Amino acid sequence: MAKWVRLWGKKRGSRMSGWWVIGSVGEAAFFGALFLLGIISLTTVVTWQLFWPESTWLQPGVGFWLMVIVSVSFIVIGLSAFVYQVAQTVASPEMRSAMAIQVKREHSRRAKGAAERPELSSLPSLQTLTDSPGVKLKYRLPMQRGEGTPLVLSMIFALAWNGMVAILAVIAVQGWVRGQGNWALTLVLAAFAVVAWLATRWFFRLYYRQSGVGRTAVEIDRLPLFPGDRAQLYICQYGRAAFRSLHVDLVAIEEVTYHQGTDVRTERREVARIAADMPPDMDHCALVADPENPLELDCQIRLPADMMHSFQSEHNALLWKIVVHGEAAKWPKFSRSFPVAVYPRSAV
Amino acid sequence: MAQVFSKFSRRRVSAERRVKRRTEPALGVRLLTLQPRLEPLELLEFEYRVQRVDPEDVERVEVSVMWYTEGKGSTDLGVHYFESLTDDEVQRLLRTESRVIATTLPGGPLSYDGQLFKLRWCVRLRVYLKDGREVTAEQPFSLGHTVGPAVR
Repeated sequence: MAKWVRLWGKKRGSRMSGWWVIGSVGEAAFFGALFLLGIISLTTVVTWQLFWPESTWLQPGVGFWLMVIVSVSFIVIGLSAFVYQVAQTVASPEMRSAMAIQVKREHSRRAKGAAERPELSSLPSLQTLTDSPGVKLKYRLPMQRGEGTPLVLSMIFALAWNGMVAILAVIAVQGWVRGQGNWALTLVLAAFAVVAWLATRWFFRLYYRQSGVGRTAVEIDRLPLFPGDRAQLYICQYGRAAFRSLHVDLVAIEEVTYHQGTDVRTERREVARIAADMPPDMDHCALVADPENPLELDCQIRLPADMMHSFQSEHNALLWKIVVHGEAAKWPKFSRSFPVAVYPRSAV
Repeated sequence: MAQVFSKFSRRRVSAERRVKRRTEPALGVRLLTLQPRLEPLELLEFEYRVQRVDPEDVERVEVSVMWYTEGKGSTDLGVHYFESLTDDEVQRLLRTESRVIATTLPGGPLSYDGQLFKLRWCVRLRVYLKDGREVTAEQPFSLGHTVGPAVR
């Protein structure tokens, strides 16, 4: 140990100068004090009402309940952060991980009567993928969540912005009608109207792209997939469109989360793409969908024997998904994703 | 003729501290299987040893068989086998040559060389000394055979 303990440290890349124990003890002491403060204030507030109900101080009302909520939050934050800090200081990362796995195993054993295999914890769950039976094949795959998020966000933004512009327009017009027109407000309104037009156009473009081509359904004959498998796929494209091209791929995406300063960032990168074997007569037949006769395709995906399986942990993941993408006449290009799970053969 | 005096530090280091500084504990981990690539559900046998350290100076010894990620994302880890030696076991380990451990490897996750992250397996030996220091040794190995990213 150094002769003089440095209280302040500098961040040097991923490590800190100075003695880490001081920081950990300081943090633990802070959260311990927060916990004690919460206990003392909650006890005071509650016992005051029990023993001196006639007192005018802290009578049940907004102030009383605010004190209770603040005290409880101090207790919860202080206790959880204190326990976390002590666990981080006392136990190594391996010991914490081993303890967490042991707790999970015990919990699973109590819940199901059998110990869960720990290697399955780093594989995606099948529950959400297999809860919908298919019409032609065994499972109907759910579409990736979040595909409709930009549409919803653009709608909210366009509605809110247009509402604000409408209110400003009414105020400006009233001013001009009364003969007290405000040039500054009118100029701001003109600029806001441009943004409103762009936001509305953005919303309708997304709506056109998502709803124009129609719904896509993907069914698969097996889940989970295993390296070396041949999986049958059934694609059903609804709506009214004539397609110039339509492709089905199995795509791997790496997804990592990391801290950059105080921000938490997520990065995704496509790292593998395996094209499905499409029907041999597909190029010759017309790829046309209409409301009475949706476009139906049977295809097959051959998974290489040496491919990496799906993997997910707290900050790193390898996700496999079926991507249906193509181009329809008069419509913009479209791409829809359907997550699947690839397990290692040894996990069976 | 000018007289030159050699300059010595006023801080005098005791002989005991000098010896302690010189003698870092020597940790060794060795896989007893011949190849560094192992298959899932295969038996992993390894031995480890801790030398050049006074048993009185050791607070705890931990050994784990684990996977961890490295790359752009924050590090994740999962422990397959974990052992924290008690005081008696530490004494015995320091007296004897080495300690042999055998464990059946799990079915996954398999080792992986990705673009944004890599998944590695290793045997990690960690020795905590009473003066607050911590010495670590690792022996990496591969679990399974997967090919890295490629557009096929």
